[in-house]
Amino acid sequence: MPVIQRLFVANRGEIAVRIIRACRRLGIEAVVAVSDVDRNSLAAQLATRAVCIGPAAASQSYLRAETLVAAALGSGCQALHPGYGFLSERPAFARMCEHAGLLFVGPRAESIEAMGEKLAAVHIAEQAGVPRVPGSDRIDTIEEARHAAERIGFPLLIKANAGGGGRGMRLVHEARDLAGAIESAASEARAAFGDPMLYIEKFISRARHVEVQVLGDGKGNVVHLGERDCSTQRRYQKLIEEAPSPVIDHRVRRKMTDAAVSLAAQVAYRGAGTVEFVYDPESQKFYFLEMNTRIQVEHPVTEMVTGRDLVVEQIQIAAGEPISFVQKDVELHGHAIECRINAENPARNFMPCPGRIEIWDPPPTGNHLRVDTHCYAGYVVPPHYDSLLAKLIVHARDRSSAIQLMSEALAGFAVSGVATTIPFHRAVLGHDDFHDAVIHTRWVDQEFLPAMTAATSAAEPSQVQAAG
Amino acid sequence: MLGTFYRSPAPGDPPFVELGKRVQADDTVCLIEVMKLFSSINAGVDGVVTRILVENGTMVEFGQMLIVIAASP
Repeated sequence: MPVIQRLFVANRGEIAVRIIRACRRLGIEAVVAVSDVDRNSLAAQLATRAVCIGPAAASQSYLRAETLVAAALGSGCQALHPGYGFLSERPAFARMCEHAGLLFVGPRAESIEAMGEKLAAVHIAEQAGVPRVPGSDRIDTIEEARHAAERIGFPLLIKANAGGGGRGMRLVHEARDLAGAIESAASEARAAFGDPMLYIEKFISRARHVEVQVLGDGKGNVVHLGERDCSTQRRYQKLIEEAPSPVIDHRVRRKMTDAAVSLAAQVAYRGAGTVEFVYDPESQKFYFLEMNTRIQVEHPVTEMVTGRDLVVEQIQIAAGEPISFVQKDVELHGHAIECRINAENPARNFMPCPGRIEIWDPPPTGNHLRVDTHCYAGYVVPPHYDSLLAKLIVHARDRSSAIQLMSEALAGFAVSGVATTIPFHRAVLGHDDFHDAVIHTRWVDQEFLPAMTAATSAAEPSQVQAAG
Repeated sequence: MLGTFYRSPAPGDPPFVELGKRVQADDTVCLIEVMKLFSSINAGVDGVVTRILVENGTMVEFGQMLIVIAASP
């Protein structure tokens, strides 16, 4: 009898739907946790059973570890998939599942713990011979910060040890701003994570974000599935991802994937993980940033170019099976791009726009076009959770064909009732800098959006005239 | 709340309530357990128990109806 006959999905939205589809491929029944407002969600409709775990507020539903474990056990599940976000990277939750006799679809709690503390992760990376951004150890005093800054040089980044999502992070250009930035970063980190510990890293300007997907079997065998380039970001949030990276060559790819594999092997990593790097196209050097111990939002671009189902692999590994392929079987074909369609209004500073979707008409899907979503016409986007509506993913023989296909797909994606980031994506996909792959992680904030705002306000008088 | 529904304070003990029993608002009518943590559920109204909708020892969900009490006028 298979180890997992029924799996509990401790998440919502598109990733819950994605996990249920993987369960179907494996012949596993899926039970999905739903909050009160998600009772009629697409995931609830597709699952074998939906279990209501609490009211809409995530703090009283999707973030309640004990409730989720009780619901998984009470509905007869042998395994639990945490998805991304919510409790997916809480070591205590992974531990609680294992103690309750539930297979946690993810790494061991110790791996999550080790990678969650950024400095600890950096040290593991160093032990595995993976280069880190030139930087400091923990900084406890302003004096230590000054010494570290002298050695590292400006501009530099102050980072929180418990960090994530840009919180507790400060960019400092000059020595005289250092003390103030240290103080405000420490208090922000204390407020956000309950841990004020900081460290300093050199700031690499015009850097790209390149990350390597790995799978480990928990026994020391690790394979990689190439890299993803996620340099199109707004305020450290990824908006467009692609595979392979348009800016690294075979030599750099080889070194980077080797580094990711040795890091994961160092901790006998189990399941799917992502090793993130900062890449400096000028020097062609890459530096370890952090390791994410969950399935990533952008995993589909890797699936498109490798033809592998990462969520299926995750579940099989959790069941104690080996990875279904070996490294030499991993081949990369063509180019894939993903655009995150969020319920945000790009014309109003990306303000979130929950509400009722009137028209929902994505382009037709097929081998070269995929839409991962939980939305449908009539669906009400609740205001309690993140704004991701759908991931539009295309696959073509090369990058320029993929850009062309994505532009057409975006043009053919009709949504009304809520504002979306589709117009933003169309503008970026049509921009020469994106085509030429000369963008960097601050490009949207520093160059693209300011230029777009200037163009819009310059155009306004004539529009008013035309309207009048 | 979600958890395991129990009609009596301990295995083998008589149930908190039976059909037809008169209850006061602050009487405990059942327990819900989440990972060894037991919460007492009160009647909430004065009245008479007219229906018990859940089997002892089964999992109940958030918002699920457990016991129907006809409120006293």
